[in-house]
Amino acid sequence: MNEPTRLETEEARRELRRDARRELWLIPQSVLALVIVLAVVWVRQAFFV
Amino acid sequence: MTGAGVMEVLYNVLVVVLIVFVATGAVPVVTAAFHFLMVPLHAVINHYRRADAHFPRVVVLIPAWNEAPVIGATVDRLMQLSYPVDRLRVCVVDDASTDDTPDVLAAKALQYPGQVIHLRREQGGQGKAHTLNHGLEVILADDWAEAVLITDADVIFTPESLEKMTRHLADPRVGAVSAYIAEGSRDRNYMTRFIAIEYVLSQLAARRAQNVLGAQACLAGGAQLHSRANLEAIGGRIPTGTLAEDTVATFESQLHGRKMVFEPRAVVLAEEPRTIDGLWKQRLRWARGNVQVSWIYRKVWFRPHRGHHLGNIAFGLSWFSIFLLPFAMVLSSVGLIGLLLLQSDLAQLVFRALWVTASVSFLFSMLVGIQLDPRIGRHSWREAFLFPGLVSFVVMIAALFPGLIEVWLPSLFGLKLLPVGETILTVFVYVWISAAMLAAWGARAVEKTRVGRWLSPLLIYLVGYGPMLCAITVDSYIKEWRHADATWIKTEKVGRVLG
Repeated sequence: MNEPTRLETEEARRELRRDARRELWLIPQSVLALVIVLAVVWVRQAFFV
Repeated sequence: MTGAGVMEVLYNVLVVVLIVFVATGAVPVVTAAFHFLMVPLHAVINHYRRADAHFPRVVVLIPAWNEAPVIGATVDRLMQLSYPVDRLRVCVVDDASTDDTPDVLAAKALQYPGQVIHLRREQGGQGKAHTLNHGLEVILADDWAEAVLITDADVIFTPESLEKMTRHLADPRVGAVSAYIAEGSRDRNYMTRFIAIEYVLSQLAARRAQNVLGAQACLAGGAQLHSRANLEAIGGRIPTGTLAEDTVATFESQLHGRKMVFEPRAVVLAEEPRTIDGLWKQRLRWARGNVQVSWIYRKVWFRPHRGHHLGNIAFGLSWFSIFLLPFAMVLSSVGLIGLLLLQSDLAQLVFRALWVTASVSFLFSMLVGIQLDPRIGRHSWREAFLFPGLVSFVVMIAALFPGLIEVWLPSLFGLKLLPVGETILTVFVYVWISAAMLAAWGARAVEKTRVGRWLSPLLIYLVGYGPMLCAITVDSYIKEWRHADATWIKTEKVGRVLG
């Protein structure tokens, strides 16, 4: 049985780093959701209460 | 104390109890919002730092019963995975199929010599766990396999999904890795769109939160990669005797001290039910399994332990807020109606507090959810916002923006709500929280009629997909209470998944 080539290993490590970086997008996505929710709450407090 | 004084105390106690009843309705939504707040933490608290390039010898184990329309294509796609070809084998356990499954598999074994293994049980029908165990016995008897990927016959793995899963097994503490199962039908309908968004919420969001909290509730039945060591630790077999073999295997693995990891970037596509009845049967099996699991692990809940995280308070709250959601909805309605009879102003105040909390939590959860899988978000954003149903959505708008629905909207047509109309509307809204579950039951009944084809989708949009899942949970309580027949009913699959 062949061991994985150095190229395969390097590519897998690159992909791992890329996926770890992609997870950072969760922060702006959640901030955007929070900003929209806060805007809705502000509209409620300002015009409906 | 005088008689009047005692009555006053009792009255006040009753009011407090009713407020507590209403507040139970907020527990599941607040718990859900807490989990969604955990999602961004996955950016920094994840398993990627301990993962590494790792290519163990993997056997893909597929239980199959009458899967002739899909199994050939599934094997072909597995053989095309981006994974070292000499480190991958596919083992299909044919559970006494009566269609062409054996012929299809014989042809695939010839096409991929040494890589496709066809096992056959002559007496089948005992359920998925028994079929898997037949395969595991053969696989673990040989020392070739270093990991076993358990999947279903209709599940389509994207090319890089397996290598994204195996990299976590580089950490010996990890016992199993689960992929993200996305709804992948080519020809979507209302039901598959609801399921698609549900999977985004329950996997891409909730399982990331569970990664952060350190305990997984369940590995996806259609995409779970176990290390050999983990399988051997739990006895070399999937526990039988329940309808939730995936959840029991997940719990057992964690109780044996191994970590479970959800890998959101390993995407697999699956075909899901397209009708209320199909979904009901599938989810009833899952929900009954959860009732069994809740009882089996009764000594684990809410008891923090050094060796695992299943006893964490947050994890227990998450589990029971879903499991007991129907109770919370009914208690909430009872509390509101009780308060309406005693102190209508207080009822209105408590109702607004409940629904504003629910609306804000819901809005945040859905806004996070639809961004997590842009493909699903694009085609199912309406289903995301109508997840609790159009009626509940309107109630949320009314709670968030007082006067908008009950005053401003009728005034556009020169109308004004009379006091009697206002009372009827109030009672309807208070009761709706739990009545929605009954309405979902009705939608299932309507589906079987001549008008069901167009009326039942309309009813689900009105009533909500969430309340329908709650109705199924109630059905599972009843079925378990009555010890109803628990024969494994396979979800019909016909190969609709995207290629």
